[in-house]
Amino acid sequence: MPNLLDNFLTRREMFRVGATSVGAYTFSPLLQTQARAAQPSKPRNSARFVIWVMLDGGASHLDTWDLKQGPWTPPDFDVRELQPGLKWPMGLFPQLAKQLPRTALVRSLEAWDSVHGRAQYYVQSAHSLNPALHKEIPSVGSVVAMEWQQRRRPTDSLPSYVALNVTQNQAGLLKSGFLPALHSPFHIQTQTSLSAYAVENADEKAEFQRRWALLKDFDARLRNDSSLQAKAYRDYNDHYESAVRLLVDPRTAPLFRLAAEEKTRYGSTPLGDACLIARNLVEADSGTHFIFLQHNGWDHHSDIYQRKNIYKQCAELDPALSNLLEDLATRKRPDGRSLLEETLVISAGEFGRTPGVITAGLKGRDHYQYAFSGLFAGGGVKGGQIIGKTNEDGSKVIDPGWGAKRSIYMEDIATTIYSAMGIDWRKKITGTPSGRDFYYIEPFAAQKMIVSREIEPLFG
Amino acid sequence: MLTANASSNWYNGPASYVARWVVIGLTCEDTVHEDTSDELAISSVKHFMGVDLSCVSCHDGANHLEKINLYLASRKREELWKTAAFFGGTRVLRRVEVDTSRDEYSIDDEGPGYDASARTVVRVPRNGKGKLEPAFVFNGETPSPTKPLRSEFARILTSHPQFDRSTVNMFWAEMMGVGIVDPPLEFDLLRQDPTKPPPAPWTLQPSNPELLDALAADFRSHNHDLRHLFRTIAKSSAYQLSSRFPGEWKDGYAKYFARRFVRRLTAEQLHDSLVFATNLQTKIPIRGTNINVNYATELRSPEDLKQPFPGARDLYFFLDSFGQTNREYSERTNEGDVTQAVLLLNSPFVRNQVRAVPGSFLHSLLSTPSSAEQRIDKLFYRFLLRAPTPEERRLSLAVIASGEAKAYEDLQWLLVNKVEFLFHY
Repeated sequence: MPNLLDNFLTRREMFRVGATSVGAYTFSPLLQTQARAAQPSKPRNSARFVIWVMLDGGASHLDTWDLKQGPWTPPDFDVRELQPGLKWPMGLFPQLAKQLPRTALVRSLEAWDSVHGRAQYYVQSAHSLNPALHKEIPSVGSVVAMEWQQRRRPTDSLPSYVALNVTQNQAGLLKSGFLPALHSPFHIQTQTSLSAYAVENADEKAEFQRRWALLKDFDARLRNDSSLQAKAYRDYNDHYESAVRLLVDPRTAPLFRLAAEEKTRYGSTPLGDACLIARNLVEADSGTHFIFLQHNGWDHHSDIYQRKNIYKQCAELDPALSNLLEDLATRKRPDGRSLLEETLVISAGEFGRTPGVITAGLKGRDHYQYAFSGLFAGGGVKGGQIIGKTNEDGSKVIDPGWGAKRSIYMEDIATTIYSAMGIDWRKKITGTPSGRDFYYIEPFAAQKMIVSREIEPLFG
Repeated sequence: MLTANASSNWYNGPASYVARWVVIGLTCEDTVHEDTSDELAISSVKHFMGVDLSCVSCHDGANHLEKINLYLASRKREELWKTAAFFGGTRVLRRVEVDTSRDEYSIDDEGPGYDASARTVVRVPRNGKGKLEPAFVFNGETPSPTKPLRSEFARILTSHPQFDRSTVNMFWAEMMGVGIVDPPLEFDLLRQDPTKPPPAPWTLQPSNPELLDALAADFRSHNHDLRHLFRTIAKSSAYQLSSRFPGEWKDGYAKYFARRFVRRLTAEQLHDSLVFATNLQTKIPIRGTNINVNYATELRSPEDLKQPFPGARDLYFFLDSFGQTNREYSERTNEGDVTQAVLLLNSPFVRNQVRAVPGSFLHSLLSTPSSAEQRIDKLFYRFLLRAPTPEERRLSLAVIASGEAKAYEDLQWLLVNKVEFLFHY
């Protein structure tokens, strides 16, 4: 029998991939993963950062990035045909219109599920929700964090995977599954006091350093008490060490210091603040590589065309996403490359919404899995293009717009993320707690005979 | 809970057990009947019997679960459907006419029965044929035709010996930190009987089958009295052991529960300990009532924390980060991560809790004439329920040498961040 104590407290960490151990956010032994096939994939390696702006609840594709005009379309959507095949709701996205040369709109997305929990699980994990396995499946962000562990520099202090404003509304935030807690997302909630994340001024710094030094004396005995054999204590030591490193790193506090002018420019909303912090995290380059941020409130079953619904959502998204793209594109590294060149930005929800006229009773749009849209930019993505096409009412993909000649699924998006981040997506991990091999990307998507692939045309 | 009906679960609490398992499909009023019946069957068998049927809700166990659970490998999807058919008459409708955003449901017995060919929005397609009559998955027992289906289901559950075994095991796990069968909701019914051991390489699942049987028999003979069960475990010498083991510990001792197992406090326990120790309370309103509570363990639902009240967001985030479940999509976890360490070290919530503001325990302690040693003792008892060791007393005296309130705040911060404040040991 394994050590029950360890088993209960940190079941996840019982699992060992190679010779890794839970450690502080420094160099730790490379996780040994096995390539699944004789033929490893050829990652594109075009990005160092990923930012996922999740439109939680499922944005209506036909009212936004795949606009379908009809008697339902409110006049103040101010629909303009910016170029042949590109109708744009200028009334909703005036700023984003200017970013279109930098972005690729993908209109041939399809989801496997049409209920929130399952579909959002897919967004985060690129796997189907399986009750036997869901506890051990890591999120895409955790896999990226694990893969990037080997590339961490001694100066890196921030966790590889950061989640902004992710609440437990639906799928919650998937953690690192069977991977060490080290690869769990680090939470930031912009609507809580951001002072938690940084030790700001000299007084605070002095107080913090004094207390931390005292704690080490105070608690050394128990934390090192071998008669307790409390692995969880030791793990907390590691978590504390990591926390202190990021709290005292002088690069951390400025990440959360949101200047009034910038806040306003990004919209002064939780989403705007989150995008601003995401920009700062990329610019600081102090350890974070995968940023998942959530924009709540796209589940417009009722009164979709009222001010408080789609207008409000778009008014929040437009300045936040546009200024994120603008800043990433205009800020440069010393070598002259822009931040956007090394950052893959993706924005999409978990599915689309029912096309055609709105529902008679509630005046909204319900869940729709057979067609929706996403926005991609940066990290090698060629801007100014539209991939895929839906039919007249947006209910069906009629031109997938890529070599696979089928709709694009979450597995394909995850494959694209792995590829851009230089990760061999054909890898699998054996010896999981369930005994089932974990494939980064399942060989056949949703157990159908669909082989996932990178969305090549994104990259021109 | 299993038999409750309500015109609204907002006004009849027990009906919320049924309401919370409802499956919503494409629209917000689209309650998917057979999916909901499946969820009710899965969750009630899981919570009351410790057996997780979710795998066989999509496919037969054969060719899937042989390496995971012998019993489930022998079960068929149709048996899950027939168990779910006990809820075929249960109708759950969302009260969208009241409010589309709140989870308000009516529950009655006007359901159409269980159709094994009905659509599903959460599983692989239901490939059965037509209406199914209820039969319980463990033993095929069918309901009396003259009695309500759900009360028959409740009767069948509670008369089965697995109900006793699962319940005592769950209490044992809660109190001891680890179950006799662990995890407590993953029983394998073919690996329980010491007289019929499973084929190699399988082993018996309970670490101590005799103990589990004895507790279960005692629980039944005391008419399923939970107080009696609680008392029996609490009075046992196993429960009262120290977490320190004299001599060399071997993993094989674990099944004898030869020492106490260390575990982290739950999110709510941690919050409540902080509130109790410092005596600084946040008034948390209970949704839909005019009641306010001080402790997270008094909340009716995590949803209470989503209301606007001073400190709500910080509190919600704190509890969420320490693994509070939302009782819907997320499961409770006691695992650690860096977010938790940051919150304990530096969150405004913790920093405010340790302040010597009027109303706090510390403020009253400092307002009363007393020696430094006495104050240190009182704080240790308050936070850790024990006196300081001589070394801790020496260190504490150094911390509060200035005698200023700020120094005592430092000491309180240290007590909160001592690993034993976070752990039950």
